[in-house]
Amino acid sequence: MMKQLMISALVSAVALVTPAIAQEREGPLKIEITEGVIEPLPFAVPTFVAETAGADQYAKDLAAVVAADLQGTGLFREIPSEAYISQITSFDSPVQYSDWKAINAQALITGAVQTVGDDQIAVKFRLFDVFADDQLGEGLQFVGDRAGWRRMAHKVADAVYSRITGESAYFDSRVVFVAETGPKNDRKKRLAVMDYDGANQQFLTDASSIVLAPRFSPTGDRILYTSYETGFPRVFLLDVATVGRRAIEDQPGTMSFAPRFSPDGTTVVFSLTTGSNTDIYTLNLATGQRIQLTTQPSIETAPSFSPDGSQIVFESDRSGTQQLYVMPAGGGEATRISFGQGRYGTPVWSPRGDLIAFTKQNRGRFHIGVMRTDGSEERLLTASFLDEGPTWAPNGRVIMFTRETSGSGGTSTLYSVDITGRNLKAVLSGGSDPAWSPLLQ
Amino acid sequence: MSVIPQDMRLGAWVSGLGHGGLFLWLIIGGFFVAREDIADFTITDVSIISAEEFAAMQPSSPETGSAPAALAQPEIEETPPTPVVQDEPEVPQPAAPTEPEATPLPVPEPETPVIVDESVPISPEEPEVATAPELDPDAVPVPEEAERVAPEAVETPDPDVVIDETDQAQTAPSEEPVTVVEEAQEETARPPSAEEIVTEAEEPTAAAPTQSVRPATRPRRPPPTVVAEPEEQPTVPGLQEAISGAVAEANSENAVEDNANPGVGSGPPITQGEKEGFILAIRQCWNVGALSSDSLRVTVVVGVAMLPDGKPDNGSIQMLSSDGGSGAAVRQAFEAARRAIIRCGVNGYDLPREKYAQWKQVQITFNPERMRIK
Repeated sequence: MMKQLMISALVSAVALVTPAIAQEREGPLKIEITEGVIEPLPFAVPTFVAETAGADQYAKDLAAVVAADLQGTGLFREIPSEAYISQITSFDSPVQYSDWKAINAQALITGAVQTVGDDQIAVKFRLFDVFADDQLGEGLQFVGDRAGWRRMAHKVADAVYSRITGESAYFDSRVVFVAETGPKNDRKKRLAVMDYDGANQQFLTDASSIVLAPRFSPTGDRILYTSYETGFPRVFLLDVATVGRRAIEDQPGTMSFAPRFSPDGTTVVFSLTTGSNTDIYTLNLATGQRIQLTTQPSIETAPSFSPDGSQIVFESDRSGTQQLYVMPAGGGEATRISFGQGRYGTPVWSPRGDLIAFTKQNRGRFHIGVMRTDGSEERLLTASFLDEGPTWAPNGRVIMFTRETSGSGGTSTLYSVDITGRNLKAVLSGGSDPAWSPLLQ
Repeated sequence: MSVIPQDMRLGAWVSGLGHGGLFLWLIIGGFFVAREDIADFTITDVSIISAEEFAAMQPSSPETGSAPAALAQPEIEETPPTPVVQDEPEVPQPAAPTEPEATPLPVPEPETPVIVDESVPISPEEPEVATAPELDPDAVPVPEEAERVAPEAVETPDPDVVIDETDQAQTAPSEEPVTVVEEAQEETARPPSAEEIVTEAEEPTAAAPTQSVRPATRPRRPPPTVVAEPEEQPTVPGLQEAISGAVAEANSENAVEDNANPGVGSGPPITQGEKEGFILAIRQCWNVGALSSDSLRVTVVVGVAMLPDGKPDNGSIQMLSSDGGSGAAVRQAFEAARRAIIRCGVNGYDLPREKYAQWKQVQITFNPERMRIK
């Protein structure tokens, strides 16, 4: 009995002095974090290193455009150069991470530019995760014409954006739109293209006739649009490189409008008015075969293909008010997807396929909104006197649209907004009906 | 002449006796009942004292009766002198209730009960509380304004969600962190209705049970475990092994390391509050604003070794597992988690140093489920 008591006491004593051992047996401390912060990621883009004579201006301009691209997304925040502790004087010199950590630069982009021959430049860059003391991905280099230096800057920004966010990018893309000049009662409208940020505007048509609703082809080399040059709306196909054009639908006594390419670029879907009825048709560009998709006595227009080409979303007033419907690409029974108050129009399927952007009119106000393809989770992103005509960025994360101000002196301005409704900003004044191109190759 | 029946005669007797008794009670019953108007009297204890004792109680004879006076005096002296009175004796306080000299007698208690607000801390360091405000004798009393419920009138809420009538202002690039405002949703689409009417009889019966399930029988009680009477001799080696094993582990390398750093050890179990503080510190740096929607579907579990000063060993940060999303999305989610751990741990996390053994290795799950707004 005495022996048992002694053993018990000894065991108790050992247990008292070994809690740490017991704890370590339980393994690491486990915690779960379910909430973080949503704020722009601070980054630094020092002026690129000019490695050859004559590259100084390019070095400055390239860094400035890269910074503007990233900051313009609302997801990044540029740290001003005045705060820099380190200076990048050589592209290959090691990065002083501590200096960039001190100014809370979470991403660092270093670059260099050199002239190649008489008319080309070469741009290279690296991206660093400052707090991980490591480079993110591989460095890249682009070579191109000096005149295309902005595109090279956009490509650098695209690579950085994709590497950090995981999203595909959209900076190296173009937008076709209707350039508007003059007062409202005598407004001149011309087709024009520009970089996504409003730079590099070029006119594609003159102002002799009204043009509407231009749409890029999936490859970006052709543009569909509607012109009133014959007195009636007609759909035309324009080649961007040669600016040559032809009418694709020219039947007397009809009106064709609201054209849009199929995802493979072989077919055009559009509205055709015969008599007093407007229906949706497809036209094979190669064979000229035309197929009528809707037969309702109501007005069906503004068709848009889903990215996989299997469905078409369009607007119709068959229910008495203007609403959105989805039908198979070959025609057939349509399903109504919009049920909110007001009228819905100009639906556009997202390149991702997950959302449909639209224009909504309710209580005298216009909105740009998005909804799921089944009509659920409707979300209004904007509100103004007149917002209309959304178009998707190639990555399906940003929408550009037209905002028109009221009054006789009202103007049209191109705006862009994130699909979360944040980062609403003006892109270009004096433009309407934008259509985003795919990412340029 | 009528004849009274026998049973009626008995009733007459009973009635007569009853009424007679009642009259008798009314006449003489009062002597047996105590009257209510008799005044109560109290009985007090008295003690018989001698003439000498009475003389000793007289105030004119201090040499013999100091005991009662000595008892009365300490009551005043024992009253704790408040710092107010001692610190500011010169300040005239006509209505100061804290001066013991001014209140030698107990103030009659008001009939209404005194309500003590326990929420107000009693602080002797606040003389203003006990000091009566100085009153201007010439001042005309002005009635106090009625207290308002709120400094400003509350606006009437909109009866319905109304879209702002003003144009949205263009956003300018700002260095301020973007505050996420969830867009108010309007009507969403109704679920599609059935294309044909299906009656209840035609409805497939898969959803409803066709036969009730017989309840399971009550589980049988497990047979009692026969505990063998422990024999003294065989148990000793087992215990000895356990003891020796525990001692060996206590003398292991980790324990030696802990002992080598006084103040850095296992300590008591890490508290929930300490854990919450750790979580709060990391999440301040977990920025998911630049993550793709795919990355926001990824939950990553990250392992990190911590240094005794609370800083993470940056080289040790590794992804242990992930759930959801593609390869690229997982990579971006892990990188955001790694940035969070490193950024907010630059100066060391506020973790109890004496419990280092418990947070030497940390496993952090970054779950962005509540951050999905895109």
